[in-house]
Amino acid sequence: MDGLPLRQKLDWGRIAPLSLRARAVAEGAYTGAHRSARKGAGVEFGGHRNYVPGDDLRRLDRHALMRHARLMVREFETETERHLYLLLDATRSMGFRSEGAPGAKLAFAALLAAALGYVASRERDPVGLGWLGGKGAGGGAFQSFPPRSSSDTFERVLSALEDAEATGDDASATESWSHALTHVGDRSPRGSVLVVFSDVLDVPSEAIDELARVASRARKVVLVRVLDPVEATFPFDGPLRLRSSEGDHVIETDGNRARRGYLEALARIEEDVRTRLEPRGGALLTVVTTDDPVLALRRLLAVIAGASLEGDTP
Amino acid sequence: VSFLLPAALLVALLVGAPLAAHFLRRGRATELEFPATSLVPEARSTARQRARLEDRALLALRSLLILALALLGASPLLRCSRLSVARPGGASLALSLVIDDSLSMRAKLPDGRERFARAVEGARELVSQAREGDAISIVLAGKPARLALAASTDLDAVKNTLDALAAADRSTDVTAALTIARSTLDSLPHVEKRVVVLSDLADSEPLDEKALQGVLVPLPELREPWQDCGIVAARVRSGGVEAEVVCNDAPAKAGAQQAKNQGARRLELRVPKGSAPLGEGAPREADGVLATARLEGGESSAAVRLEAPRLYRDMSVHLLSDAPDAIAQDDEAPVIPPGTDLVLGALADPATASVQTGGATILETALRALESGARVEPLSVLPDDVAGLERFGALFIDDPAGFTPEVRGSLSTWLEQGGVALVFLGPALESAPLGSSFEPFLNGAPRWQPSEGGVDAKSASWLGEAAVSLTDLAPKGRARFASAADNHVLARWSDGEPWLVERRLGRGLALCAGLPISVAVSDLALRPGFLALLDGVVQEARTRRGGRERLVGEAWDVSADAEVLGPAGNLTVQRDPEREQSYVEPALRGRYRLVGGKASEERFAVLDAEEIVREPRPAPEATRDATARAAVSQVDVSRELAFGVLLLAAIELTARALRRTRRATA
Repeated sequence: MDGLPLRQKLDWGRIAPLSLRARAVAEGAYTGAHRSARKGAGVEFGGHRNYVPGDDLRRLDRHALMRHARLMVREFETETERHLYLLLDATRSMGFRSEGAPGAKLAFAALLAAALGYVASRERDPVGLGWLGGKGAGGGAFQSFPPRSSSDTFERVLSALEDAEATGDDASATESWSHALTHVGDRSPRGSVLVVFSDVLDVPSEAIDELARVASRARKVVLVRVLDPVEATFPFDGPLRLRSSEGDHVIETDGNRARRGYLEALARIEEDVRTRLEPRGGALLTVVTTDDPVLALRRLLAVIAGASLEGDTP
Repeated sequence: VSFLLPAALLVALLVGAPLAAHFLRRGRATELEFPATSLVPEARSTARQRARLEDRALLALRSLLILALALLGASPLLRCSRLSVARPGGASLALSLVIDDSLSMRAKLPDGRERFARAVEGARELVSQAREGDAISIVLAGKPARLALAASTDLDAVKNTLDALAAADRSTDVTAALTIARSTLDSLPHVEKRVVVLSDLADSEPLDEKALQGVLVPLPELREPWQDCGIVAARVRSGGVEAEVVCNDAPAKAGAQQAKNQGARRLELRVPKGSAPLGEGAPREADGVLATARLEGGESSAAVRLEAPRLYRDMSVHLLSDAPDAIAQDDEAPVIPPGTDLVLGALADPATASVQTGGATILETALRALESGARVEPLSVLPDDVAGLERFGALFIDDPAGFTPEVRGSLSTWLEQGGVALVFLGPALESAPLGSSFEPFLNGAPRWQPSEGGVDAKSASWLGEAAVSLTDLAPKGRARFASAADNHVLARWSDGEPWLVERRLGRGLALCAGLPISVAVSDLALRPGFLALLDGVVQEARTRRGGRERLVGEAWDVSADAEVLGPAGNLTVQRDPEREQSYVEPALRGRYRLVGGKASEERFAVLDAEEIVREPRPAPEATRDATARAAVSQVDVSRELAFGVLLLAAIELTARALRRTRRATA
C-alpha cells in the first residue's frame, strides 16, 4: 500500500455529489415524521395520571375527580419541534481516505449529517451545524449556524458541508470541542438531539466528559465514530513506517506484530467512551466508511429514537 | 599515492553494486499516513533488525573488497618514509651501503632512537626492496673504514650482516669508506651501480664533491645538529684525576638557543666496591663518590681536575648534566692509571748525537717534536734485565758499540713481548767489545765503510713524500750489514745495499738503520725523512705495546693466543695475513684486559674528541639531485593489497557461513 499524502481538500470520492447522495440516503432510510417521545401540553389526549403538587391546575380533570375521587390531570401527546444539532470533527485525521475506501472519513460523516439534516428539515425540525477543528471551528471560514427550520435550511447545511476541509490538528481540537459543546449545552432546548461525527482518535478526555454533561441535561447525544476500513481492521503486513495525520508522530513497526495491540487499543477507547457516555443517556455508534450509508443512517436514526444498539458494531 | 594503471580505478565504480543489492534484498519499509499512529505499538520486524546489523557488515566487507581489487589493479605506488632506490628500466641494481658506525651516530634523534639505529633501519628498508639479481655490499664508515660484507646477491646474508651490526665509539672516515664501497662495485657486471651513504657526514674534512658524484645521501634527519658534552678520557695526573671534557655547545659557536639550553654540569669521580688502591692499602669496602667538580660553562673543551684523598685502580668519571645531552655513551669514562702512557726510551751519546749548542740530544728533540703524546725518557745505558725495559714502548738506540749477552737477553724478551726498537748503527760498531754483538737486531758483525750515495727513495716509499729528502744524504760512512738474510729490507741505499732492515720477534719488531744520528757523519737528523721514520716506529710501538691508551678503533697487535676482555665481553682476535700478525680492534671506549700466556696487562680505548665537537654536515650539493632522483621513497604496495583482498574475502566467507549457521539454528 502506497503512502498517502495529507489532503488539504476533502476527498469526497464516490460520495460526491453530496446533495444528491444525501437525499437518496435519506429517502432510502426514512420516510414519515418521527413521533415525539415527550408527553405534556398538546392537542391529542394521552391519558391521566395522579396530580402532584406543582402540576398546572388548568389540566385537572374534574370528571375524573368525580369518577375516581382523586385528583388527576390530563396528559396529551404532542408533535413538537426537535432541534437537531450536527457537530462535525474536521481535524486533519478526518480527511484520511485509504485506498479502496469510497471517500474520506469527513466526507462519509458529511453524507450522514446531510442525510440526517434532510430528514429533520422535512419534518421541519430546526437543524443547526457546528465544527470541531478545521476552518469551521470557532467562527472560521466554514459556515456554522444555530438550529433553524426555514425552507432553505437543508440547502444551507449542504452548502456548509460541501465546503468542509479537514485542516485542524488535535491541539486546536481540544479547544474547539470545549467551545462547541459549551455553546450547544447552553443554547439548545431540552429534547434537542446532538449528533457528533468524529473518529474519536485524539479526542481529549475532557471533551467526552463535556459531551456526557450535555447528554445528562435532557438532550439526546449520539457520538458517531467514523473510521476508515484500514483503521478498523489494520490490514497491514511486513515492515511499516507510519506517520500520523496530526503532529509529526512517526513510528516503525511490523504490521503482523502490531495488529493485535492496535485493535485492542481501539477497543479500549470505544469501551472508555461508551462507559462514560451511556450512563448519562448518550450513545456511541461506530461506522466505517465502507458501510452502506443507508444502513448507517437507519442505525443512526434508530439510536436517536432510543432503539437498542445491540449488534451495531461494524 | 600514484598509480601504474590509473584506469583500473574505474573498477571502483562497481562499489555501488553491493549497495544496490543490499537495498534490493533488504526491502524498504512501507511508509504510510495513518491517523491512528499513536495507537500502534512500535515493533521492529526481526528480519529488518537482522538486516540492519548483519547486512551492513557484509555490505562494508564487499564494498571494501571491490575497492581493494580496484586499487590492486591500478598497482598503487605509495610515497612514504621508507627508503628505496629507483630502478631505471627495472634492471638489477648493484648497491653499496655505507653505514656510519662512529660515535657521533650514537646521538639521539628527536624520537629517542640513535642515529645509527635509523641508518641501519634505512639500510633494511633498501634491502627489503631488493630483488633477485641485485648485489649489495656493506661498508662501515667508522674509523678504520672496513668492509662488513662484500657484494653479495644472497639477500639473507645481507640481512644477517645488518642484524649483526652494532653501534660503536669510533671516529668517522666516510672518505675511506666511499673508496671501499666503490671498489666493491667495480667488478660487478650490473649497469646500475649506486653507493648509498647513511651517515651524519661528521668527518674531519668536508667530503670532496667529485668523490660524491652519483652517491646517494638520504635520511637528512641524520644530519640534524645536536647538543652534547662528553668525557674524552680521564687520567691520574699528579695525585689527582684529570678529566678531558669537550662540548659542542660553547657559546662561541652555538646559537642563542643552544646557549640558553646550557644547564648545570658536574663531574663525579666514582669507585666501585673492592677496588684496589693505587699504592699500598686495603681494597675499597663500598661504592662511593670520591670527588665532584662543577663544570664551568662556556668552554668547548676543558681539563677538569678532581682531587680525592685516595685514588683507586677501577675509578670512573661520570658527567651529570641538566642540559640536553645527545650521546649517553660519552658521559662515563674509566680513569686511566699512571704508567699507561707510551714511553719512548732514547739512548744516544750526548757527545756525538747533540748539537753544538748543547741541551737534549738530537734524538730526544726529534722524538718530542713528533708531539705523539708519548713520554720520552733518555737512557744512559740499556738495562740488562727485562724489568728495566718493561715501561718502554719503544727504544731508540744511537750508534751502539754492540750489546752484551745480558742486554741481548733482556732486549729479546722485551721485543717478544711487543717492544719496538730502532738501532742507528754508526762508527762505534767498529769498536765493539769482545763478546758483544748486534743480536737480536742483526746476525753477524756489521762493518763501517765509507759511502757517498743517498737512500733510494723508491725503496723507502712507505715513508711517504718525506722519503725524497733522503736521496742526497751523502754520508761520510755507512754500516754494511754482514748478513741481512734473516731480515726484511725496508729501504736501500742507491747502490742497492740495505739501509734499513727489520726483524720480527714475537709481538715485537727490531729495526736497524745503517746510519747514525750524529751530524758529524750525515745530516740525516735534519731531513724530514728522519722524522717520518721515527713517527712510523712510534706508531708501530703504539700498536704493539706501548700506548696502552689508544683511540677507539685503532688496532692492538696481540699474540695469537691472547684473550682480550673489554666492556662488551671478549674481543675477537683477528689475523692480518700480510703482516702475519694477530690483532684486536676495540670498537667501544673503556678498559680492556689483555691476557697472553702468563702476562696480563690493562689497556684503555679513549674517544676522539672531534666526534663530540664536530657537527654534522649537510649532504653536499652534488648528492642532492641524485638523491632526489634515485632515492625515491615510492613503494609498490600491490603485494600488501593482494594480501588485504585475500583477507577480506576470507572474512566475507566466514561471515556468510556464520550467518547461515545462525539461521539454521534459528
